[in-house]
Amino acid sequence: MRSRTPGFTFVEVLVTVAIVSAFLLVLGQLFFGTQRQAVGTEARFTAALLAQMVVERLKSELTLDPGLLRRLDPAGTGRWTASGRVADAAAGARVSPFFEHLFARGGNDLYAPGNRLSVSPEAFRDWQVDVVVTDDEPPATAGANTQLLRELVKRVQVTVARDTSSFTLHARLLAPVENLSMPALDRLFENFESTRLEAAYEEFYEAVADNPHFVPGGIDPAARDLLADCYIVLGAINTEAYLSDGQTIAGNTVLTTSRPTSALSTWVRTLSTPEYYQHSVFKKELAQINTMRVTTLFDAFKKISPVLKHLLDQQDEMLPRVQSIGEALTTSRDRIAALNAETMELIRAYRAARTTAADPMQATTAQVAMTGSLDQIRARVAAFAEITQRQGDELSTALELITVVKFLDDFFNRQTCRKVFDRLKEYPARFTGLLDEIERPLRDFLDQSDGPTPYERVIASQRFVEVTKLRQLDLGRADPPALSRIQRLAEATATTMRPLSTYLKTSDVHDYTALAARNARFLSALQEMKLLARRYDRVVRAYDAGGTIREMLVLYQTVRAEIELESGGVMAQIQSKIGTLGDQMDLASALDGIEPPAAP
Amino acid sequence: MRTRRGNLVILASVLCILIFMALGSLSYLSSTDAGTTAHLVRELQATALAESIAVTVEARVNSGPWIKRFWLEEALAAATQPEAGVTPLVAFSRESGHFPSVGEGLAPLDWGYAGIVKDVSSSSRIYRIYVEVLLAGERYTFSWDKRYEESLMGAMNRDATVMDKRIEETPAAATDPNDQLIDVIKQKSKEPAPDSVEDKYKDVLGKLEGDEEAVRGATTVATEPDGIPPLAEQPVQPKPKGKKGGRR
Repeated sequence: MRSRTPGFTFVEVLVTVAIVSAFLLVLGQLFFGTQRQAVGTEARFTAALLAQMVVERLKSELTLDPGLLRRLDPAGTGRWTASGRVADAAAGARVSPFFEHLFARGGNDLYAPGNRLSVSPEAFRDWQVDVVVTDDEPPATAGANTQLLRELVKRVQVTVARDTSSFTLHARLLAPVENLSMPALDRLFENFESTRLEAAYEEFYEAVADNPHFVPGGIDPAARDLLADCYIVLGAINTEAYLSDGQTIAGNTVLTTSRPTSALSTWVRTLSTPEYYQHSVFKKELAQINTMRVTTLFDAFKKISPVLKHLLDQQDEMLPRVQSIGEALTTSRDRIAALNAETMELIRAYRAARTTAADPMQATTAQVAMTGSLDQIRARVAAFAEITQRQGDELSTALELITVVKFLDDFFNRQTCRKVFDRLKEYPARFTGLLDEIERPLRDFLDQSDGPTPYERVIASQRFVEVTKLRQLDLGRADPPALSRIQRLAEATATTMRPLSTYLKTSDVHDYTALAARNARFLSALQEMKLLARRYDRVVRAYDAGGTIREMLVLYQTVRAEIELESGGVMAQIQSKIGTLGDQMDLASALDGIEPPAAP
Repeated sequence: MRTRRGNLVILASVLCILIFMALGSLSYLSSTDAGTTAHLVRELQATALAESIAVTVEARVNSGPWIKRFWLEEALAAATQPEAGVTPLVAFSRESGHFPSVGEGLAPLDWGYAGIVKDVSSSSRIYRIYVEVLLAGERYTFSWDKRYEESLMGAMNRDATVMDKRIEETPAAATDPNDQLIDVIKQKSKEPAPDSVEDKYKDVLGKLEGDEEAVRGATTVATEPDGIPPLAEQPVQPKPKGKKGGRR
């Protein structure tokens, strides 16, 4: 009898081995499949991360160096491409030149500790990266801004590939203004240019629709526009005065969300005291407040520029006519004065002859003298009538002009309005002064060793460049001390923030000719501000005592009083008494009581 | 024999369980791995898409005066804005045609977006952008607060962005809770660090900030003439007898 032994039978072992083999086979296939998938997944993961890193690096570099895109595409083709591997095979582990500027931090050695933060060489070294930066395609509704928006927004396409794996990321960047072409820059300036004259009038007339000064059918539209000019300019300068110094000079209303606790100029005085100024945060705030002040001033100018120009142009056009009227009035006044004097003498002679006529011995001679005097007086009355008729006709053709001139005279000689307008004369000097006041705290901020963060220094450095550009455009020449400071800033950041250093070194702030050419429209506005301030000064003098317009108005009042027989002059008295110009029959009796007017 | 057959069943069962556990683990790990990567890739693409929209908005608003911001003009054109106390806003989506060029490289039927641009503070010239991106069935919500601030020479904004990004099911259009959350985050982020200079002078800095906002948001009402209206001059001629004085 065969004994029973524990364990597996041969068949059991065979079946077990078969099952295990089958499952191991399946498992192996699954394992290798999963491994392949994991490799693919890892590659996709790496590719996505690398693409994102490239995009982020471009963004951060653009923050430090706002002129980067213009330098990459100096011809302005609207397209910049670059491609390369993270590491060149020939160069071993050294980063490729393409990635040097994108990734290198502490040098171009991928294994350097500083670089480990940005690039893990093992993960990225064999990847091929293609970058395409192109102008955007704005919507059809962009209209005249199409080219500007095309350049302001850049499409970034980053394609990362290795072997069969590939990943593409599309992103967009906002291009700083330094990168715009001249046509786009011109369009940008146009968008921010002053209000058009017609739009300014439209807005003003809408606001004063129920005001009797401007009702339709009242004064001539051209004259009405001139009056509107005055109030638009008054409002804009007054608002600037309120925002800068905290009070309006004349009473227009400025709407604010809340009433400021202090005016900007008061803040400047406060923050300039050592208690505050010693801290970097207040230097930054001081620069910010002064930027607001200069912006407020320039905005006010931009708003009034076309209106003020219209006002001054009209004044210049009016002046020859005013001078012509003044000359005619002078002639009439002198002639009337002469007639008054001559007639008074004749009246005296007539009265003397009349007294003499009472003497029978001299009656005949006296009668002749009286008749002669009356004839001569009659001739002068006729001459006076001719002068008043002619002058009256001439003045009737200039009624609109005289209305406007009288209004402007009243406007410019009203102390409140004149003070507001005279603020305009200080604009160019205040603009220059405020730019200096921005520069000083920025300079001190950058010199301060404690307080500012590196990012604040970056922003302050870029602002310093912008202010220097403005100051140079205002000066009309380069500013060597400021440029030296920018160079020193560039050297100080050459190793720590290379893109910023590049920007500081290569910005067009260093080339005044290029700067002026690129900012021609701004420069033109700046020059217009200076020119209009000078023109205003010249024009407003015409309304001062002794000025052309003031003199003409004095003459006008004098001659008008003569013509309207209200002057009290001899001729006016006679004319009043004899009634109409044709009624001179009772001249002899009209002469009774005629006396020269008392000296004023 | 029964014992041997029992051995076989037990053995086969144990082997099968072990093998299935191994397969399940592998499958789970690989699908999680692939899913995570796919999710990361989608999130990057959604972020890039949302940022593209934000950049386009920023370019459009900064290339002209604040008063001509496109959402205000569109709201005015739609005659629904601005009423007193109503915030100017405009809603956009992939179909609205506001940003026709975004979304390049994505499968045509696989994505969409919707959002809102609106004023946060008209006077401070701060605006908020909400974008909700729908990509391969996942929803990603983004928001930015941006400040409009053109410089004297028309330079574009720098450092004027606050961003919030969330992956959630809250539609961007439901802005009230999101607004409240963002406002709280902004308020908290503005609080100075204890014992810092900003903390010491926080009252002064607070007043200064308020005053700057008041100045930025100031508008003026057109000055109107006062006093005697400048009536036109009358023809100059001698006054008829007995009618002295005339119009003055």
